[in-house]
Amino acid sequence: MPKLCKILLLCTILCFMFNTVAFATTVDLGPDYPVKQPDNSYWCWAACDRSIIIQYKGTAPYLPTLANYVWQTLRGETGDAPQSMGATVDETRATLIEYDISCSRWFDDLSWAACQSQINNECLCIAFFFPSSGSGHAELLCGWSNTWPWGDRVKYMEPIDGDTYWTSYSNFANGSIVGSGYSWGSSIFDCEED
Amino acid sequence: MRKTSLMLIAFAIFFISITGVSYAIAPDQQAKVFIDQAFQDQGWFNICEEDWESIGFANLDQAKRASVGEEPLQVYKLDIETVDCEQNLAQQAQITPLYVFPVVSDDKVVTDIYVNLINGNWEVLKLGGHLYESVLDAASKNDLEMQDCKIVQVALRKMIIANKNGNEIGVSYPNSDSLMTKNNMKKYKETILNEKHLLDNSDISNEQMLVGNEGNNDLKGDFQQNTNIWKRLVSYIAYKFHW
Repeated sequence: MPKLCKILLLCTILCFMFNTVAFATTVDLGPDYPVKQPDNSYWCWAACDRSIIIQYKGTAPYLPTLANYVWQTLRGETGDAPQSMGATVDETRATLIEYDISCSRWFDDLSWAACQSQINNECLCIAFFFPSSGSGHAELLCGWSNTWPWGDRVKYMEPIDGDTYWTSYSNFANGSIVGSGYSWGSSIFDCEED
Repeated sequence: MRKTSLMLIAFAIFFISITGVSYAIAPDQQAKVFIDQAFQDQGWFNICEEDWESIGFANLDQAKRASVGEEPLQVYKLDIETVDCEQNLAQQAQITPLYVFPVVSDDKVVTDIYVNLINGNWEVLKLGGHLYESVLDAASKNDLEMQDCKIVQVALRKMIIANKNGNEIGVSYPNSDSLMTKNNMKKYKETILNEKHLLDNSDISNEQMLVGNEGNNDLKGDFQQNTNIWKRLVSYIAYKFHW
């Protein structure tokens, strides 16, 4: 009987270890990576959109074309979109829909489980961070890892330099990676090709 | 004679203790002590191995040899609301407890790891990017020492700034040529002036807020730590003597 207990205990420990050791998934950002916004531009949202379109279509219009869609078609302005043009969350989503990518959006962050689920389904997500004043910033969520015992980590693409970064889920969710005045206030997720 | 010698020895011990303590509790030393332990203990080394290719390592073996380099760069901040663009920006920049350490392998800087004092505790903010390498390049291409270059951040924009022959020169990060010029500073100041108006929209909702680059990034300049001076000293000594 004690022997059986020891075996059961050993099996339990082994099961626990296999369930908690290394797990990590990242979405391949494709051959056109990195998608960087032009220096001094406000096109972080367009860089995120372009990455998602590339993910599904293999290719995508360049950033000025995406910005012109918002500027001319959605806002009815003439001429080319200025690089100082930001976009709202809904305009960012409408641009994806224009290029046959359906997606959902809501005005809150994504839970850790939701982030994992999106990435496991090869869905890139756009996280929008808003400050107390000024304009917001968009980051592209593209991977996760929770290797035991180091906790939950996410990987994201920073459109300002086109590089990918790793951070803790908590520092991502509370906006610390962008700045101490920011918080993750909106998300675009569940992207799929129509 | 003997009394004089004793006094001199006592003075020397006192002087060394004071300088030793000040050195040990300096924020950059504390950040270094923290990151050397956290790189392994908190699994950042493991991330380098897991995702070596996209981080920038040549191969897995190179990632396995990764370590944190010695000299961190400190990030300075400018308050977009109060900055005076008629004056030198570097002189108005305030020091912050945000440090950029190089992650090195085979004597080469591969990527960066950011250490920040958040709510009184040292934390790894993120791993990735090539800011450190850009500062190295900028210093080298402009005949400057690395310590002459300051990373200055206003809102989300970063600029590498230095003073050369009495002129303030700089280059934005990221950049394509690393050339630090007076003209870049002029453009940077113009951008700051143009963006001040964006801060007047604090009443609008997230649904209406535009997403671009410029928010009021309240990068903290607070160096207050939660651990007391003696604990910091003990951890520093333990780190130095590998206890």
